[in-house]
Amino acid sequence: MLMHSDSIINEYVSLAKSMKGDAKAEKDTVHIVVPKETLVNTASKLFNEYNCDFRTCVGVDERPLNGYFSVTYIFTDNKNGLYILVKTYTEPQNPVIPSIVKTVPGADWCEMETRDLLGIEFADRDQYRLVLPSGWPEEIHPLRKDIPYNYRPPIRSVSEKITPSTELGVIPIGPYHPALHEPEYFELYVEGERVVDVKYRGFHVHRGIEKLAETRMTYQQVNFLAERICGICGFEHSTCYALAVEKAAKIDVPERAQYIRSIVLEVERIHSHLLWLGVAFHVVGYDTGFMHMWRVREKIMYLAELLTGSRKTYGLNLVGGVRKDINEEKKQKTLETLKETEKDFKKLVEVAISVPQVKKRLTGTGILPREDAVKLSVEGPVARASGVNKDARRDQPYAAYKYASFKIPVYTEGDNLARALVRVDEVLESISIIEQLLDRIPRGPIKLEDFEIPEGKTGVQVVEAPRGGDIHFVITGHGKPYRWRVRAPTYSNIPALKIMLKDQPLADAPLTIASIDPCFSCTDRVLVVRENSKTEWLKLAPGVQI
Amino acid sequence: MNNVNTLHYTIYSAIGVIIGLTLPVILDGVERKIKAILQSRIGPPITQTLYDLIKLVNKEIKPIHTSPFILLYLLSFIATSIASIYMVETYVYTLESIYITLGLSLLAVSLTSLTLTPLLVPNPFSYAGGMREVILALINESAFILSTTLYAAITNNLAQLKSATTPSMLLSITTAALTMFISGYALTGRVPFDMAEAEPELASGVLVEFSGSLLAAYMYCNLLKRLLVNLIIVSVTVTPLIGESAYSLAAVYALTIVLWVIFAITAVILGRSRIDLAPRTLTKTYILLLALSITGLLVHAYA
Amino acid sequence: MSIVKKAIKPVEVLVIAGKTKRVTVKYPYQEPILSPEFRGSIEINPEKCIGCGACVNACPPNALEMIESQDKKTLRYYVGRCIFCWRCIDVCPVGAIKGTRNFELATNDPLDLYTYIVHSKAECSSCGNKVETVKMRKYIMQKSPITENYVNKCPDCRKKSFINAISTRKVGFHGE
Repeated sequence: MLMHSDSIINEYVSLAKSMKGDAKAEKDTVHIVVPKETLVNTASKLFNEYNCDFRTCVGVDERPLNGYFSVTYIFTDNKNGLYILVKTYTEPQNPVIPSIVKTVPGADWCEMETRDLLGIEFADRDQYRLVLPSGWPEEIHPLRKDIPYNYRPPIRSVSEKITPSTELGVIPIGPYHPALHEPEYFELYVEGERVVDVKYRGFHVHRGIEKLAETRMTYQQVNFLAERICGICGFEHSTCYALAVEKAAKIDVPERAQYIRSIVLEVERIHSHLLWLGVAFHVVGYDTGFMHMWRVREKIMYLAELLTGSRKTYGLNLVGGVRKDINEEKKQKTLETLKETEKDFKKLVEVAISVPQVKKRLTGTGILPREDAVKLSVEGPVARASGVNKDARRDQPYAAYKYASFKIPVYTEGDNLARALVRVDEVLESISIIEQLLDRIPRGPIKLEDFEIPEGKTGVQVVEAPRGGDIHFVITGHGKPYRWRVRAPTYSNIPALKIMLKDQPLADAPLTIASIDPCFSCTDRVLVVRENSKTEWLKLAPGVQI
Repeated sequence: MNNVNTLHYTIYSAIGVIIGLTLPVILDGVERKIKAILQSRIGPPITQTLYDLIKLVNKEIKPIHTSPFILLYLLSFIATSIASIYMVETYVYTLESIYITLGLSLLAVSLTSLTLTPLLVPNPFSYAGGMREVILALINESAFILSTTLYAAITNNLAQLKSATTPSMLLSITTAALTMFISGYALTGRVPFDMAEAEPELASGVLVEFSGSLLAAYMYCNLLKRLLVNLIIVSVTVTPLIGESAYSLAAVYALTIVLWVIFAITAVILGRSRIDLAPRTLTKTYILLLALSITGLLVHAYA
Repeated sequence: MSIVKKAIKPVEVLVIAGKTKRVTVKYPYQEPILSPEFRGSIEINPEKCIGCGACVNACPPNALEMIESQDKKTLRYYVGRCIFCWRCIDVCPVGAIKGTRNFELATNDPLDLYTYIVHSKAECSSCGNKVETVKMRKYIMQKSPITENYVNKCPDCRKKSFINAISTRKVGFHGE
């Protein structure tokens, strides 16, 4: 599906020119620059007429380069495998950009994050503080180039309290809870046993990763940082970063390395889905399914350790290739493990879904209708369970996926059971993909030794993580990235929870929240200071204290 | 009643009560071990529940201003349970149905005080969880007491009610027994009916304010409730078959342990139900089975 | 019949449990299950290390740091920050770092977590400054055809002599 026919590209170029802007096409990316005034029209045309998928927006402080701030909106044309970047500039003294949230509702959070971190205001919408804590001073915008990464602003301690309500019961979930896996804060407004409304406040563990990469790491070191964005889907983050930098620098990675990347990506997908199924069973009370599913997963973890050297945070990727090879013995072991896993997994899923309580509680709960799924640009299994057929492995093929044939499971009911079944099918497809790739892997080197990364180039890459499309945006700089933006899939899926949790029984709330497979450590990437009537400073990634 | 030494019987009953008070803790450990084996893991040692209770007793209680009343309710549960166990044991020796009636009434009283304990805690989540427990208790206790009385009445008066092998009598006995087992299982508060906490992720249920030795007492009372229910089921089912003697008590306790293990295995293979699903299913099941039982009895009596 | 089969399906989990015995391991009384490729902490060989600092450049979390002082260069390895990625092993030019399978590193004394490798610095023959280590000079001399005379200077003096040498060859001697 890699036909970048010139006619499509010419259409985008003429669209840009009609909006008084300019366009440049490079392989599979179309860079469009438009003035502020025509931004909303361009976005609306792309989203509605050309049916492009909106991914995220990136604010960049380009004042050292050309004296302006810029905001880039990233769309993807899934049918033609193109990335459409719409960039617009604004003056540094009072940066204001018209908001596109009325035509593209999925742009809500990324605009507010840009406002918090860079200070760019958005016109024609209500603005609120999203990512920074409530006591943070208004004038300090962390991602601006003149703020050092280890600067500590004075913070007013403000305590956030649970919303009082006299008509409805308010049930808080989190942010600290002995049974929760990650910190998040949901307020469920209940009437009796029905959930009526939901309020989400996240970003409790924003770690400042983007700022770190721009200030004190080198290109190769950022791979390891990217891997630690998430504990479950880390490898796809580091692969996405490496692919984005390689695209920006126009580096040709050896084929064998791409095959190895795809194989390990699929191993990661299998382990992530098995983990999710276990957690879903646990949340429904079926602990036996949980234990057995994780027992099956243990074999995959051992396989990952055999292939890469570590059960998680593989440390395999470098810009220009991978660090470890797959020899004949490992290949045999992999095929054996996959065969056993497939048999065990199929049997277990058959038994587990037949338990009456599991079936009853998964069916018909947490429904997300198709129109809402499209409007909010949800990702991954959440989208595929609501009838939206999108998958970055087929639409924007990367690594070695163009050499394997696989099906994309799509269900239309949109309830929790559909999301579970999508993941079950994906596990079986992943096993088939790995077997195909291992069969056809070519010989050759696994790493490129000598290459140069020019400055000022832009690279965008979408990778299909287990939770959906993960997008990395890199602008290259001197020895380290000038701007790095990560938009993890859960970022787009959480706003859909408001719709899914309405009118559901309370006992199903954890199940519905779990069914989007939330990865809050992927979602929050900024720092927060805990407020407890005295400020507590958190130690960030090793060596850096803020 | 045999004059064979009321003293012997009193001693046996006292020993039985002591066994009845210590058995639940060990059996809970056994249940966790069985659960672990069925989940392919090693699991905690059998004495783990004992260690847990000891550890909790050594911790401080976060004070609730109604703590003395809560403790009173829990102690009254233990007292009435002891009395109920004693009644059941006397039934095992004498097979006189008055004792089983007394035992069941004492069970009703004790279960009421245990079910109402969460409503004493001044916390909205406790009330919510307590109400869920009340719904389940109303349904399950009524079914349990009805079916046990029915079953005991039928089996104790078999001699008077002609022969037992007509199909309607068999239907009556089996449906009554089935209801007894199902409602007994539901009363023990195992999966799929442990929904008082809604979900462990929500912290919005019964245990939200208990801590320290209060929590230990509450957990112990729940275990004792399981033993009491098992004891009643087994004595009602088994004693008419083996006759009354001093050794039937030992047999009854042994079979109680077996029944506990069977319930444990059943809990492992099921998932948790929801507060709107379970009561509906249970009510429909009980009404159906009890109706069949009474119909069978009437058909047999007047046919 | 199929309704009965469907109802009995959940019980098959007992069959599954019967086939797979207990899979958990009583760690630490039993050995944990590690694959042959497992990456643990590293061990630096002080004899081989030349103090070049390539590992310090490559280390993502700054577990390896170079501490400079007037006449010593110290390489400090802090296990607490190490992510066991083994990048330092990849980039070391002399192969002085070895990977072990050691991951049980808990200790009561935080000072146990630091390893120091101290190198003495070599003196520049013209200006007297100390910049690189003695061992690094020996390594360069082994690897590259440079006279001992040239390598005995610090980088600044070396640059100056080189520029002087070129200008002498172009313009001739003047002054002296």
